[in-house]
Amino acid sequence: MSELSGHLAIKVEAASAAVTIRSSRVLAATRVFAGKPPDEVVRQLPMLFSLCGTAQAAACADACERALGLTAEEPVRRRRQQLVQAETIKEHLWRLLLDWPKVVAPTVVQAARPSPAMPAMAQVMQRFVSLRQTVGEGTDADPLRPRWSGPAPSIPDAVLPASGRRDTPDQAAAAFCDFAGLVREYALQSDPADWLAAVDSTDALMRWAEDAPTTPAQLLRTLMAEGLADCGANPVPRLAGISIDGLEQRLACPDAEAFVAAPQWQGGCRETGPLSRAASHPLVVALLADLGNGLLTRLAALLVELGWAASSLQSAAGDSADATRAFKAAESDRALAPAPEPIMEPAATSGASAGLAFSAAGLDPDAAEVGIGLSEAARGLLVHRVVIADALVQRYQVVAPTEWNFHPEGVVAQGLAAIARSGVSIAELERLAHLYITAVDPCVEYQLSVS
Amino acid sequence: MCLAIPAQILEIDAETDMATVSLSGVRRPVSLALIDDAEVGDYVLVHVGYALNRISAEEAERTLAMIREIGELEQDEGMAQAGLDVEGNR
Repeated sequence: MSELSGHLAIKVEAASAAVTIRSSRVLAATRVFAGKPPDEVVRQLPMLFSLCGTAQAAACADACERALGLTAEEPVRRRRQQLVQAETIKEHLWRLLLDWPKVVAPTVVQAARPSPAMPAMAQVMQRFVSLRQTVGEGTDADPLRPRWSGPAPSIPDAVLPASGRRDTPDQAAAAFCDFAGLVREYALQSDPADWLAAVDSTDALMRWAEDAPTTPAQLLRTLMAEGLADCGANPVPRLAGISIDGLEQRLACPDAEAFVAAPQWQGGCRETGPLSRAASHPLVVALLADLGNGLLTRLAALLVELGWAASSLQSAAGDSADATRAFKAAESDRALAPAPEPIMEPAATSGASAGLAFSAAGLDPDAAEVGIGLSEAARGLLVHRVVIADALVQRYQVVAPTEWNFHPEGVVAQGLAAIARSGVSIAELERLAHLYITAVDPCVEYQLSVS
Repeated sequence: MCLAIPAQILEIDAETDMATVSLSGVRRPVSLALIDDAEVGDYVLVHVGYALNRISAEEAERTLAMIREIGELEQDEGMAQAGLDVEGNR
């Protein structure tokens, strides 16, 4: 059974700079949901894909709601977005506190066992668990659980934590704000909004790294000292302008499984994830222009995303009085409102109903409903598509970030080829390959072989 | 997306904060450094050598039942032996 968790086999041949990436991931696992009621699927799916379970749950809820012609109220959608942002903070801190240091400075990490960052990461994990409990995890009032029937909507004002005590928006906002404080403590060492405004150029980033006593700042200094700023830079474009109609066409067609396994867009590979999302920040704009999508730009994109997520969660706490009023207004209208029209929000954290290509899917348009849900998970865009007929899920598809980024010809394949072409020794090629793979971040274990 | 397969804790070494878990009947070492108060018999979700969080026995059994179902679906389609080869499906 354990082989079902899957892994990536990545081979790099130094002499030819040839890279092969093969995946043993069970991409068709979502077939297990066929024939089940939607509410069972929304409970089970986050348990099955729990590494990014919050983003998975948000995309699943959106897809199912859209298929059924419903949309959650704005406070619920906002709360889902906040939960996904908190999960992104958790995942990015994991990469920066535990994973990058193992490869960038392995001698330091190995000399200190357990890792000096382990207590910090343990605190992040425990506070994330606590945050989820505060926002109603496992209860009927969990904002990540869609409610298309029953008496109570999943609005945050109705949150009941595990203890059974009625929570308030202020408590939830305070919990988000508290969690966001981890970014300041373990990464930026300053207010996230201030950091985002001040660190807007390569020079400003270097000045910050010289002064900040955090593991990410140390990583940055090491990358610069070792001349690795542009390591792995390659021309694979970032995923942008993806459309719901286009996704629906690809996921409804007979060869949809090929798209799920190795997605491309507009005829080529695309990168999704922190770098794609942070590409509009002045710091990342400057680094992309100077150094391309190498290691330093990727590290900076993680810091920018941490800053954005933390700043957003702290702003939400500041707006808690407004939130309280909004939640009370929502409470007066407890039924989920019908979806006004198909939409795709720019932030892509919410779902969208599709231009429903029933005939291509071989389904009766009078009997089946299709919904596409999108969520920006820590590693990139997550796409869920559900087909519901006769109150049962007929088909469930997920396109995950790893399939874009670890496409056999994608950004990791080309990044590793670029490193191989730089002529470094086999041992250094192996270390840098591990680092580049970690920087793009697969969600499964991988085996790397360099020859 | 990766499947998170529940693992049951068989032994704990308090000095190293490591545990031996049973993952689908296979014994594997995992770090307990990221979770609190784990005990022998608990079910945990494991990712790259770390126990991520504890889950109840009921939740673990529901998840394991789904994973068994996925395994059967895979066998039905003759893909269980080698998994899904990305290149082979392009």
